[in-house]
This record gives sequence, structure tokens and C-alpha cells, in this order.
Amino acid sequence: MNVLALQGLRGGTGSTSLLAALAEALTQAGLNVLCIDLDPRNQLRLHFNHPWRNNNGWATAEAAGAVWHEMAFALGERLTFLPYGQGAEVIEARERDRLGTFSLWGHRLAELDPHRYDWVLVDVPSACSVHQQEMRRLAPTWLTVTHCDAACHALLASREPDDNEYLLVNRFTPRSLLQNDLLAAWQHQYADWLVPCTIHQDEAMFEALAHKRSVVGHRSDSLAARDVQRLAAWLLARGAMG
Amino acid sequence: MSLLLKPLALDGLRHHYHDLRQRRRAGPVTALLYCTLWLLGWALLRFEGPAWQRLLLRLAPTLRHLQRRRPGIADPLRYLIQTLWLILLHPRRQSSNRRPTPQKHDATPQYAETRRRHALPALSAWRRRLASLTQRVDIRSRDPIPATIHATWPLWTMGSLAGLMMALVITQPFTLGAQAIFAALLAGIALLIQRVPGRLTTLTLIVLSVTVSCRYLWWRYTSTLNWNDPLDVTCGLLLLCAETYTWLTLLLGYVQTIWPLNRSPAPLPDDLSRWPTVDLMIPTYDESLGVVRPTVLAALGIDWPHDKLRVHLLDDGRRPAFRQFAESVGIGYITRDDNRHAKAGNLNHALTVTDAECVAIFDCDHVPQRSFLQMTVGWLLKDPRLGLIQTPHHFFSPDPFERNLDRFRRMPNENTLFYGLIQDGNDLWNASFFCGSCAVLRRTALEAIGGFAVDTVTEDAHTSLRLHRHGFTSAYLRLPQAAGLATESLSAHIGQRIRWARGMAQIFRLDNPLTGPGLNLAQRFCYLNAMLHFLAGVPRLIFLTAPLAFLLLHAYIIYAPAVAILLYVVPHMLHSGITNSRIQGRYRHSFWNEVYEAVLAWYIARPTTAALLNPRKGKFNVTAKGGLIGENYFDWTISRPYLLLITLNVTGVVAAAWRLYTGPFDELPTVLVSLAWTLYNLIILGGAVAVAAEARQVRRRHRVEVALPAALELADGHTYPCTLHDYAEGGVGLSLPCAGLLTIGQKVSLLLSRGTREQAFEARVINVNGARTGLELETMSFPEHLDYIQSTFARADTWTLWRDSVPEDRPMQSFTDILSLGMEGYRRLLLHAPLRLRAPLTWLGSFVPRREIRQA
Repeated sequence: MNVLALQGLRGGTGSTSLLAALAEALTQAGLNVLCIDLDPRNQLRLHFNHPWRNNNGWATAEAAGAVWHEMAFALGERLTFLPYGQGAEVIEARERDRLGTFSLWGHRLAELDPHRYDWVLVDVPSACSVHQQEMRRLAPTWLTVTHCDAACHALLASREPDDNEYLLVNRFTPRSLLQNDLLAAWQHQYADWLVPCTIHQDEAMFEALAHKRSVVGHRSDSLAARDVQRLAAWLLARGAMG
Repeated sequence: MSLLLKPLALDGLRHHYHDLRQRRRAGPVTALLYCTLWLLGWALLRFEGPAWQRLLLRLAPTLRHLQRRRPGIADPLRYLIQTLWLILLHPRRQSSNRRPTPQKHDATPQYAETRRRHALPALSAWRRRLASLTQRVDIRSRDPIPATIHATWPLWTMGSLAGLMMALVITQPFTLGAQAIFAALLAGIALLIQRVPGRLTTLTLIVLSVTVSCRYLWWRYTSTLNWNDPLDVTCGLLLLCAETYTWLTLLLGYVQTIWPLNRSPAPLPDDLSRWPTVDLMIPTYDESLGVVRPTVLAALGIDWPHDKLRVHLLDDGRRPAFRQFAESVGIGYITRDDNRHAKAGNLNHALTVTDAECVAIFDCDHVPQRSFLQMTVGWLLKDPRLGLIQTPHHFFSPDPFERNLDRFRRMPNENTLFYGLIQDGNDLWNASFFCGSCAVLRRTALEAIGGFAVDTVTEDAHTSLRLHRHGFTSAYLRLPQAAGLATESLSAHIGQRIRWARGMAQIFRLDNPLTGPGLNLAQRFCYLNAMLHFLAGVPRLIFLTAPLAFLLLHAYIIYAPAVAILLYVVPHMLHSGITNSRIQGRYRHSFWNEVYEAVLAWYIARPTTAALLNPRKGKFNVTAKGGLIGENYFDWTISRPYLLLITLNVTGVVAAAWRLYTGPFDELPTVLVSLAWTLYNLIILGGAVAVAAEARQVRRRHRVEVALPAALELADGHTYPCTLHDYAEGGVGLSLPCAGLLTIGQKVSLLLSRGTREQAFEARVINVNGARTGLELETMSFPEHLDYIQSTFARADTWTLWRDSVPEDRPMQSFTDILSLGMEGYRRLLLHAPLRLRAPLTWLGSFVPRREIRQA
């Protein structure tokens, strides 16, 4: 069971859409994937054609005293996703999480059947320090999703990368001189840190959510979908190499 | 049994026997034999000792195939053969696997690493002796320490013994029957072994071919000249001279290409400060800026430290536009007051105003790849005596042969033989030539020889000859690192070859490689062969007219019975054909050489002869490139000599018919042989004529075929991956994942990557055919244009695809190919003939029966 966490370096980098697409690309490669949404805004489910009114999720299950992963929804044979859940009780759960024991997620992940899922993708919200700290310790691979822009450049400059952390450039367009220059600078500066494939800016990525799907399912012939497939291949190759 | 053995050993024996019988299913006799051997072995040898254990451990993986099979009675023999094979051959192969690059100029002993630790000291010592012997035999090794008498005497003895035997075989007169048996035997061997891979086979084929050809020539000199008839002897001697020339080039060719070096690039040091400075010079005279611009832009993108690469445009045309262009892109612009000594003078003048350690030369239409310097300069650092490293000239447009015969990329083109094989073969002998472009030279070496040679019109070959004379070495790297335009028309091609031929003849007279200081024998041979190659004109003309001497003039040029001629000529041709097909097959298909030579023969015959008589005459003419051919036309001027030769040969055929009808019966075989020869000549000449029918060339900017990943961004923000199929300076062709995404006239952005960088280029859709699309690029700013050239033409992986697609040589198929080409030549001749001539011929042709025409 590989645990991979995705987090935007700042808000609005498109990490949730990317996670949905990546999950679908991995299932297409024949792997069993579980996606966990750690964002209380509960947006990930929208990429999986989940009914708008269905408020169930791991947080609601937790609040109701049930097993936390009971509320997982299966989409096809291989893809399973676990929304955060919505409702008044969820806010309580959030508070408890914040105050709770430090290895809460360590226990939770240990409860999962390790043979059932090849990959567990965790969507970590960009502004959630508790989850971030814990998942950072737990997830062997950590993808920080960025844009090639000055804001991200400044944020990157103010911190040190972790050992298991990788930088993934999303919505890259070579037409922009700034993006091109920043990417070149990053390639020089963060050579070991940067994922060798970038995700290109593509209208299909935006359209996908409007169709309540991931880009890989929505337009498999688009460049963004191909980029995500490459990312999946890169992750698998990394895993295969140990 | 129990009396003889301790219980433990008895147990072991019993266990061994059962294992053999049951698990490995051996027969009782075999099992018994094995057990005896096993017992003997354990009784006499210390198998449990560390040395034996190590040896057994080492041998185990290589004997596994024997252990897996059912034990048989002959297995000891199998083990013995396998072990012998391991001792004699296997270690060499392993070491060559481990180090695939022959490092020619290494001062360290070559096979040091083959001397690995061995279990048995005696075996190891023996193997070491063997290794050192093979090291001496291996001609790749160039030990700076001369081999001692002690080391070479077995070779000399063997060599002289073999030489004596060969002389005997060559000179021994045979009866016709004996000669027939001899020829059949040798041909049988050659045909049998020609499919066996490996260099040993090639060497064997060469020995057979040399034997047969020498024997043929010996026979020709000793017993086929009729000294009693002046006409016979004149014609006979002419033909014999031509044949001697062919024989000489055949032998020299074998020497030259006996062991192509296949050098790989030498790595550069990690420390950038040790990389030398480079002056990249692009000489130009009257080429248009459109031709020069891509070269300059690609040169600017070569991967090399920026402060160590200086690009210079050497403009002998002194054009203001070029000066302006050079200033705008920030490169050096060098002119001089006169144009003395053309290109060589231009380069020499540039040498006086520049000072980098290395000088890279590019013709203004050769677009370099970004990897060019990193691939080549390593050798200059590694070997301080290396004066020159040359890379192939590669063309992205078809040469006149390929275009006019519609064979672009369907067979090796005319210069593949030289750059694919001959230069690589020269490299072994430290004799690769400078070819005027796509090369790096060491400045100190150039200064030592007084700059580029200006005495001849081929300054390149002469410069490298002087480098070799001054003790510098040269290297050849068979990796296309630049590509350019081929000559446009047949006349331009011939013009270029006339210049080369004249220049080579000049060098032959002024600075003969056979004499003078500084060269070793092999280098002299290589240069001699290069020069002889261009003297092929007169001999080829003789071959194209030789049978007429008998058919028209009734001169016995080969004064021997027809059967004898066949028995000597056919093996000679067969063996040289088989051997050359083996050596050159991937670089030139059989029989094509004849067509190339037939096209050039007439034109180079005169200038080479003139240059041999008076080498100081003749001027430098620039090869015109980058033109357009508006419509199909037939070059009547250039094909005049071919038409004359065809007329002569047709007359010969008529004469042959007349002789068959009226001549004496005993002449019949001779007439038939001559007729066959004449018909063959007619086919070759037909091929030459076919080339003269110039096909239309539409594009000024040639498209380069590739298969590269790219992407297309549409105006609505959708982006699609695509495959780039071809590119040119102004446009590209690509295919999208599905049809119907684009409409004509739509504006798009093409995303091309170059290494880790990616660039966008604005373009317009100009044609759509399903998923295939053609784009026209919008006008680019200078940085964009630079990016475009660097992510297309200057890519390091552009030209690597090309050799894969060329099919192998199959002599019989090649012959039918030439046959149909000859027919095609006559068809084209008829098509372009004036109406007065064509009308009666087509009228005659209308009587020819046709195959049924299928309705489509």
C-alpha cells in the first residue's frame, strides 16, 4: 500500500482536480486506488460524480461513532473514494481532530486492509497545519502542487524541502515567458525536488469538473490527461525502483 | 566395494548414482561410467580445496546447459569442448562486452582488464600469454612501444608461408577443367560462409577474393595478350590497364575497410574550466542569407560554455546584409580585402584574427546539432597529438540520384559509403580525411602546418594530408552531428565532383602521398585509394566501350577462348561482388557503384587527366545549393556523352547480331560474351540517362522527417498532444490524437520541447487531412526563431533515426533494381525526345503486345 499525499503550495493550484485525475490514471493502469479527502470543504467527491445532497463522509461516520472508512464509495472496480462529509457534527469532529492525539491518522491508515488498495491518495488542504504535519510524517511520497508564478516562487524560497517531498508544476503554459523562466530557474535550483513531468494548462481540466469527472475520464486525448498519465507512470516507476 | 572405501565415501557414491539414475534419468551404463569418473576424480584431485571450489563456482553458470540435459555417454567430450571454448574465447568476449569502446589512443596496455584472477596459476599464466599474443595480433591496439622481434616472428613466419602458398595458387597454370573445379570450390566456400556473421568471415571472404582476383590478373598478363596483332595488343593493353586499376582499387579498398573502427565519443572532464575555447567558423561566399541563417542560429545553440564558444561568419562576399545580421545576433563578422585561395584563404585569414584553441568549421548550409562540440572535443583533450576530428556530412534533402530516381531514404545514398564505411575504415589506419565541414581542428596543429592548404582546389583533403605528414593524428566519429542540403541538380553534382576529382589529381601530383615524409604505409594506401577513386573516369569509359573493340573492330582484346574467359572472369566478379556486398552492403547496394561511376566517368576523365599533366591549372568553383527546379526536364547537355556511349553500344548490339548471323561458328561464344557485356553496359548507361531526367523540386525549404512528441494549444484553451512528422524552416506537419479538431485557417500554438525546456510557436493551420495537419509558422522574432531552430534542426536526436530505415543489400534484387532502372532510363529518354524522333518509335512501340489492363 503506497500512500501519496497531494497538497497545493497555496490555495487554488488545482491539486484536488489533479488528485482525481491521478486516481483515475492509476486505476486505468490496473491498480486499486483509495482517495481520501482531508479538506473540510468536501470538494473531491464532485470530481467523482457524487450526488450533491449526499453529505456522508469519514468525518460524519466518525462523529456517528461508526468505523471511519465505512463511508467509502466505490466507482467502478478499482476506484474507491472517501469524502470528508458535511454537516454540523463534522465541525465538531474537526475540533476534536485538532485537539486529538498526534498519531490519529497513523492509526486510521493502519486500520485499512493493506491488500485491498495499491495506492492511497490523500488530498491535504493547503491551509491545514495539523493534517499536514501528520500526513507529512506518514506519507512516503508527498507531492506539493505549484504554479510557475511569483507567489509560489516566494513561498518556495521561504522553506526547505523534505526528503519525501516532490514539487509538481501544474497549469504550465510555455507561452508565458514568466512561467518558462521560472521553470528554468526551478529546474536549476530544485533539480532533485522537481517531478520530471509538468502538467500543462488545458481547458479540458476545467471542463472536467463541470462534467463532474476527472480529466482522464473526461478527455483522455487532451494534453493534461496525457500529462497525468505520465505522472502516474513516473510514480509507478519510482515505486518499482524501490 | 565396501572393502575399498570408507562408509562415508560409499554413501556419497551411492547417492551420486541414484541422483544420476532417478533425478537426471541417466542410463545404467552412463551412470556407472560417471560414478567411476567421479570416484577417480575424488581419489586423485583435491576437489574440496579452495582453488578447485572457486574454479567450479566460476564454471558452474557456463556449464548449466550441460547439467540440465539428460546425461549421455559423450558428455565428457561436451564438457571438454565447453571448457576449451571458455578458456580460449569466452574471456575475450566478456571483456569486449564490458568495454565496448575501442580506445585507440590510450597509452595504457589494452587488455589489462582481461587479466583477471584465475583459480589455477598455470591456467592463468597460459591465458595471460594467450591474451598478450592476441593483443599483438589485434590490429586495433597501437602500442607506442614497438613490438619486439621475439613477439612478431611467428606472425612473420606464418605470413610469409601464407604469402608463398598464395603466390603458388595465383601463378599456377591450370587446365580448363582444373580451373573450373578450383573456381567452383572457392565459390562454394564463399557462398557457404557469407551468411556467417563476424569479422573472421569477412576476412576469409577477402582472402578468397584477393586470391581469385590476383589469379585472374596474373592469367590476364601472362596468357591473354596477342602480341602479334598491333590492334589487338593496343586494345588489349588498354583494357588490361583499366582492369589493373580496378584490381588495385579493390585491394586498396579491402585494406582501407578491413576493420572499421567505430569510434565512440570521448567524455569531457567534469571541470568546465578544462574545456577548450572554440572558434566556430562559417565561411560563405555567395549563398543567400536564408541558407546561412539556420546554421548561425543552430551554432549559437551548441551546448558549450558561453564564454568559450565564439561563432564567426566569414563572408567573402562582403555583403552589408550579412554584416548587419552578424551584428544583430552578436557573432563575429570577418571579411578580407581579396578572395585569394577561396575557402582555404578565407579560413586562413580568419585564423589570423582569432585565437581559440580549437577551430570548428561548418559550411554555411550545414546546420550543427547542439551536441556537436561535446561529442567531438573530448578526443582533442584526450589525445594531445590529435589534429582533427571529423563527423559525417549528412543531408536532409535528396541528392540528384535520390530525387531523380525517386529513391530518397529507400537505399543508402551516394555519400553513405564514404561517411559510413570508408572514413571509419580510414580511422583504423589513422588516416581519416578532413572533409571541409563538420569538423574540429586543433589550432596549434593548423599553425604547425602553416594553415589550411591552398595549393589545390580540395583544400580539405590536402590539409589533413599535411597534418598526417607532420605527425598529427586524425579521428572520425561516425555520428551525424550536422545536416545540410545536398546538391540540387545533376549538373551541380557533377560540377562538385569535377572539382574534387581535379583537386585529388592535383594533390597526387603536387604532394604525392606515396612519397614524402611522415606517413606510414597504411596511410599512404588510404590516401592513394582516395585519389585513385577519382581517377575512375578513363577506366570506366574503357569498360563501357571494351566489348565494341571486338564487335566493331574485330580486335581480340582478351586473347583466349570464351570458356576460359568465363572461367576466370566470373569467379573474379563473383568473389569481389560477394565480398563487397558483405563489407559495403549497408552503405552501398551492389551494382550502384557502376551507375554512379558511369554518370561521372566522362566528366571527370578530362579534368583529372589535365590536372595530372598540369596540376597548377584549374580554379575553385563553389557548389551551388538551395535552388528550385521548376518543372520536369531532361538535361540534354549533360547527357550528351551518355547518348554517344549508348549509340556506340547499340551499334555494338547490331554488329553482334550481324556477326552471329554471318560470322564463323567458332567465334560464336566470343560474340555471345561480348554481346552480354554490351547489354550490361547498356543497362548501366540507361541508369545514367535516367538520372539526367531532372524531377521537379517544389520546396525551397526541405522538410525533415522525424517522429517527435509535441503539443498543440488551440485558441479556446484546449491543448492536445501530437506527433511531429516533419519540419521545415517555415512549417511543420503533425498528427493529432483524433480527426476533426482543427479547421483550415485556425490559429494555434505549437509547443515544442528541447531537453527540459519547452517553447510555444504561433502557427496557422494550412491543411487538414483526417488527423494529419500541416501548419505554417507565423513570422518569428529573432529569439523565437533561435528557439525554433534549436528545438528542430539542432536537436541532438534528429538524425539518429535515419539509418534504420535503409534496407539491407540483396545483390540479386539490386541487380533487378538496376535492370528496371536502365529500362526506366530509356523510357524517360523516349518521353523527352523531340517529337520527330519520338513519333516513329512510339508507332513501332504500338505493335508491342501488352498485358491486360485492369479496370480500376
